[in-house]
Amino acid sequence: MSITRDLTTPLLSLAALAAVWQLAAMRAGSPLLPAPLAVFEVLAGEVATGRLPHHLGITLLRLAASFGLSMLLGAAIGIALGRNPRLDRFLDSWVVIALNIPALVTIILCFVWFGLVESAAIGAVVVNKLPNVIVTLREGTRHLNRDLLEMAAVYRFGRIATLRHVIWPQLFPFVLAAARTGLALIWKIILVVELLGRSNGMGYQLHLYFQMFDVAGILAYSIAFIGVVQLIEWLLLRPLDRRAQRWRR
Amino acid sequence: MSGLTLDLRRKHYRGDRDGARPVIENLRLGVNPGEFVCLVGASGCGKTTLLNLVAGLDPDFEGSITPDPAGGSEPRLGYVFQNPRLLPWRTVRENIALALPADHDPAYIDHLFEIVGLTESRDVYPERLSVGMQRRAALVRAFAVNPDLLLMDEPLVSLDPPTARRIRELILRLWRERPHTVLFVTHDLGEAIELGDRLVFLSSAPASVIGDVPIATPREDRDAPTIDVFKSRLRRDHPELASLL
Repeated sequence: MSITRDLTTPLLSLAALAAVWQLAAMRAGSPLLPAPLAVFEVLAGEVATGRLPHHLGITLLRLAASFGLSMLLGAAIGIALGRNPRLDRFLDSWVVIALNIPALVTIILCFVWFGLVESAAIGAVVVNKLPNVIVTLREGTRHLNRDLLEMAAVYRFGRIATLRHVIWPQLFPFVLAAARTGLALIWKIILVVELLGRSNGMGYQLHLYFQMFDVAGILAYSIAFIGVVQLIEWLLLRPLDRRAQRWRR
Repeated sequence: MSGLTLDLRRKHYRGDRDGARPVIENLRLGVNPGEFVCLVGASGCGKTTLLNLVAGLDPDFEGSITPDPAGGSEPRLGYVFQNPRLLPWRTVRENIALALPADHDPAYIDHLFEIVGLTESRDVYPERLSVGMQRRAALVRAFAVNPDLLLMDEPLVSLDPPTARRIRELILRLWRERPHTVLFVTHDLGEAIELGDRLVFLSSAPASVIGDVPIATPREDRDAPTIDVFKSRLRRDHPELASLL
């Protein structure tokens, strides 16, 4: 299995997408749908001035903070609910309600209650993502293999070794699933948060371009963002996934 | 080494409907230190439940389980489950290392791997091994902790006859090297006669002891014909056990 062959298909498919885009832009002939090359020129310009790295960096910091917080909190609560059926029955309706509150509502409420500050922005993202992590990890905890837990008890593994060698490897795929869906969710919500209540970051920039009807700018920022998210997937999540799978037949 | 006195008045599973039949009722059994006891009963009669109670995995029962001598330190357990119960994400060697107490003897572990023929496969993930090899790895784990009390729950079920015979010989060999008390659960009478010092017959659910037969024949002399003779004598002397023989 060579890397070049692995990459051929996705590269061809991206080229096809660019071709479709180019054709559409040529037909439209309007600044509202700029051609790929024009967008990449804007992208290069924004990178050169340092504006894009600045706003992208700020958004990524917010993303890291809210992602980390929601994963930690969500895992703790999810595991607790998975292990404690009574607590789970009591809190289940809370989780269902939290899952169904529209993201925009929590964002507005956070800004109204706590002001247009950084902590309110990150809090809003965390609240949006949290129920998702809770549900995934609760599911993982419910499906822990009892046979293996009994084995660990008989052979006196102790708490730490049981957690590390018996429980964690079983939860890891669920953590990874929560991370994946979480990342996709967070990076959509975070832009809305920035648009509504922050004066920097990708969301704020996009809002600016929207007011100026600068579609090339909007597309340039989107491409940069998509690129970064793909890099996280390829360099971080995929290798972790492979590592977790290596014992399988 | 550790003996054992079981006095189990009643065990039933929660969540069963009220008045559901208990799994174990009025089961009394004394096991001497160093004794190899084979528990024989039909499948579904509560043998695995019994072993889980002895292992302390299920504290929800009426009655008592007393180690002998009572009040000493808790006996160290080895448990060969019906399924190998190896951690699939750890290699065979890591699986065994995790179960080992701090005071284990590495040379003895190597020796165990050697005699069960797993030396070559120590660094492999369990799912890449055959079931027979996984069972042997589970045996190594049980013996490696140097148990005072070894519980075995049909460790040879679903193995082909030659492999089962090999593993039976291994179990006896390892047990002789470091004697300890054994509770060996099986529904195969021939296997029980070949291995045990004593046969304990369990009724179908709710399980209680319905027969207790010592085996005096030395293990070296227990070949196929001798075992058949023993079986027919059992049938003659214990008509009440007919359903199990």
